[in-house]
Amino acid sequence: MSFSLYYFLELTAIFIILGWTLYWVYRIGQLNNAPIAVMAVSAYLCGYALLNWGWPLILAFVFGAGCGILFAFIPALALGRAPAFAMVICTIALIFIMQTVFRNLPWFGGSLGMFGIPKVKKLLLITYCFVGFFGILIYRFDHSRLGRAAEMIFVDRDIASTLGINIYLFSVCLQVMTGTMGAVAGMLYVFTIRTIVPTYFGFAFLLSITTFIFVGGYTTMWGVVVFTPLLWGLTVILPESITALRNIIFGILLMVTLLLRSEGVIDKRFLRKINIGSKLVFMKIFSLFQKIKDVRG
Amino acid sequence: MEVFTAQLINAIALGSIYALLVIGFNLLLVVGGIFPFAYSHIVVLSMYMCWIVLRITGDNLILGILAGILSGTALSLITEPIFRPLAKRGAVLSSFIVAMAISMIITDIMSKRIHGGVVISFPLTLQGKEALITFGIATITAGHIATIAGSIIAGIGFFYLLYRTRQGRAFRAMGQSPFAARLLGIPIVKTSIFAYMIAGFLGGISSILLAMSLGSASAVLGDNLALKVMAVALFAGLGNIGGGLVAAMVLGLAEGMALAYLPGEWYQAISFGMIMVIIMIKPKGLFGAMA
Amino acid sequence: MVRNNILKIENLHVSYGPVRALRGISLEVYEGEIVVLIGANGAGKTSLVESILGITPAESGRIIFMGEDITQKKTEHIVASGICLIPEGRGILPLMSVMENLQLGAHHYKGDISEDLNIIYKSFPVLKERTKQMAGTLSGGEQQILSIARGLMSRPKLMMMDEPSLGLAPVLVKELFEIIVNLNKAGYTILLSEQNARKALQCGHRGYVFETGNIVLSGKSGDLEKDIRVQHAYIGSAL
Repeated sequence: MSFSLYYFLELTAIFIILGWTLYWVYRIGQLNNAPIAVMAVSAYLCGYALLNWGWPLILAFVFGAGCGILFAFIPALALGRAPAFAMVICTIALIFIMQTVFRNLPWFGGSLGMFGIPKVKKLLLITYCFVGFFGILIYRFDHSRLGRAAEMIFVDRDIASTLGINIYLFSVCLQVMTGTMGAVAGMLYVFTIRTIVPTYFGFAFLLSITTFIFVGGYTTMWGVVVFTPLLWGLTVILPESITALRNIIFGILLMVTLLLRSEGVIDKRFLRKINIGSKLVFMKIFSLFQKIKDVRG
Repeated sequence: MEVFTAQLINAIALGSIYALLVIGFNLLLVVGGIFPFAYSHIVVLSMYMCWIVLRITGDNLILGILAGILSGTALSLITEPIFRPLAKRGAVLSSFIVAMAISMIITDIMSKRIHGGVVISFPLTLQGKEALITFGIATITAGHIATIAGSIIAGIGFFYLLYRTRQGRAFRAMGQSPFAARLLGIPIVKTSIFAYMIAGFLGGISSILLAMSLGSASAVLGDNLALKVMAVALFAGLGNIGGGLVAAMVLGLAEGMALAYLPGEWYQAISFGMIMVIIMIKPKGLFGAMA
Repeated sequence: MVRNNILKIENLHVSYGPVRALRGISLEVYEGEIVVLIGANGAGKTSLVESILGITPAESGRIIFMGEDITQKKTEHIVASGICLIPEGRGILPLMSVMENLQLGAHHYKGDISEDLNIIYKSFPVLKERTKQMAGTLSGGEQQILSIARGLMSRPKLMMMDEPSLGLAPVLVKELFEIIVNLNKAGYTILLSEQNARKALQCGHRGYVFETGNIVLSGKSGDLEKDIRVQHAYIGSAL
C-alpha cells in the first residue's frame, strides 16, 4: 500500500472519530471542543510513557486513555451545567491552555515536541476497529431511549427536564464518553504521525473538524462519515496551488452550507430519502432474482 | 515595586483596549443578535491594513491610522449581510460557526498572503516609545497615554450614544426585545447595520491602539484575542456592557502581572485558566446577562 | 355624516409555514369607531393585527390604510404612517425607564416630543410619578397603561389593541375599558381584539367574530351581543 494512501485512510478514520465526538455532544445542544484538548493530554502522556519509561505499548495505551478520561471528567463536572456558549468558550480555552502547558513544561520537548514513537503493527486495522466500535456505539445510542431523550434536550431543555431527564448527568456522561473517544483518537494520531508537536492539537485542527461536521450535517452521524473523506481527500488529491487555499475553501464551504442548508448536507430528511431509495433498489433486485429463479425453476 | 508600577501601567493600557473590544463585541451580540467570534480577527486584519498603508506611504501616521479605522468599519460592514439571515432566524449557535468560518478565512489570509506570514512590526513612531514621565525604571510613554486616553474617549463616546441619543435607545430596545422594537417602528435592518458600523469603528480604533501597545502582530493574534474577548464577555455576563468594562480591566491587570512575574508563555495559560474557573463557578457571569 | 374608511382589508390570507392562520379575511374600519374582534384562542385575531402591521407577511389579499396599499410595506413605514399596535402581553421594555419607553413610542418622529409627553403625563398622572423608574418594576395595570400611552406617543390614526385585558384584575379591566372609551371619545379609532366578549361588545360599535381563521359573523355590537350563537360560544348562557 502506498504511503500517501495509508496516511489518508488513517487520518480519515481519526477525523471521523473526532467528528463523532463533536456530533455526539451536539446532540444535546452543547458544542464541546474539549476532545481536542483531551487528545493532547492522552497523546503526550502515552508518548512519554513509551519513550521515557519504556512501557509496553498496550500498557501505555491504557495509561494514556485513562489520563484522557480523567482529564475529560473534571471539567465535565463543571461544564455539565453551563449554558451552550460558556461551554464553547471554555473548551476552546482548554485547547489553548493545554497547548501552552505542553509547550512550557520541561519534560515534553517544548515547541519541538517528542520524536521516535515506535511503529505499531496493523495500525490501520486497529484504527478501523475503533471506528467501527464507536460507530456502533453511537448508532445504538441514537436508536434507543437515550437518543430520543437527547433529541428532546436539543429541542427544549426546560421541557426535557420536566419530563424527568437529568440533563446534567446526561451532559457529563456524554462528555466523558466523547473524552474517551478523543483520547483514543489522540493516541492513534500519535502512532500514525509518530511525532508529537504542540501545534498539532490546536485551533486549526478544531476548525477542520468543525467544517467536516457542519458541512456534512450535525443531525445524523453519517454526515461526518461521508464528508470527512470527501473534504479531506480533496486536499490530498488536488494540486498544491489549490491546497494552499484549503482553509479559505473550507471557510467558504462552511459559511455557504450554514446559510443555505442550515442542518448540513445530510440531514434527517435526506437520510429518509436514501433509505426509501435503497429499499426500492433492493426490492427491484430481489424481484429480479425471484424472476430468474422462476424462469429456471 | 518599580517593576510593579511599570507593569501596572502596561496592564491598564492593555485592559482599556480589551474594554473597547468587549464593547464592540457586546454591541454585535446584543443588537446584531449574533455571536461575533470573528470580531477580533477583523480587528487584527485592520492592524495589518494599517501596517500595509504605513509601509506604502513611508510611515505616514495619519494615513495609517485612518486606514486602520476605515478598514475596521468596512470589514465589519461586509460581514453584516452574511449574518443577517442567521440573525433573522435567531440561530445564535450557527452564527458562531459562521463566524468561525470567517475567522478561518481571515487567519489564513494573514498567515499566508500578507508579508509571507512573518510577524509584522510597527514603526517606532507609531508606538510612541519616548518616555514622558519617568520614576525609577517605570516610565509612562506617549503610547501609554494615547492608548488610555483614546480608549476612554471612545468609551465615553459610545456610552453617550447608547444612553443619550435616539439611536442608542433603538439599540437598547432591540437588545431587550426585538419583537417590541419592531412593532414600535424601529427599522431593524438599518439599526443593525448601524450597530455593525459602530462596532467596526470601535474595532478600528482598538486596532490602532493595539498596534501602539503591542508593537507587532501575527496571524495567531486573532485567535488569541478572540478567545480573550469572548472570555471577558462571558466572565461579565454575555451582553452586559458595563460589566464587560470591569472584567476587561481585571483581565488586563491579571495578564500584566502574570507577564511580569511568570516565566515564558505561562501568562496565557494563567489568564485562560482563571477565566475558565470563574465561568465554571458562575456560568452566567459575574454581573448577570444583559444590561 | 359620511365617515371615512380608515382601514380596509380584502381577502387576506396568512400562513405560518404549513399552518394557515387566516383564510380570506375581509373587514373595514371607519373613522371614530371601536371595532371589536372576538374569538377563541388561535382563531386568528393576533395573526390579523400582526399582518396589518407587516410583522407577519400576507400571502395574498390587500390591506388598504387611508387609501394606500400597505400590504407589502415594512413595519417601520406602516408605524410611521399612523398605525400602532399595543401587543398581547404589553411588549414594554422592562429594563428601560418609563420615559424611555414613551420616547421609543415616538421613535419614527424626529422632532421635539416634549409636547406629546406633557399631554400623556396629564392624562395618565401615574406615569409622571414613575417617569424615572424601570418599566419592569411597574404593576400589571400600570404596565398596560404605559403600553397604551406608548402607542399614543406615535400619534396614531388607528390603534390596534391585542388582548389588553389579559392578566388584569377585574377592577383594572373595568378601568381599562373606560380608558378605551375615553380614547375613542377623544377621536381615536380603535381596533380591539378581545376574549372578554361581553365587555368588549358593550364598549364597541361594531364587531367581527373569528373562528379558525375565518370571519363567521359581523354586525353592530348590540346585535352581536344578543345573537344566540355568540352568547353560547363567547359570553355564556347565564345571561
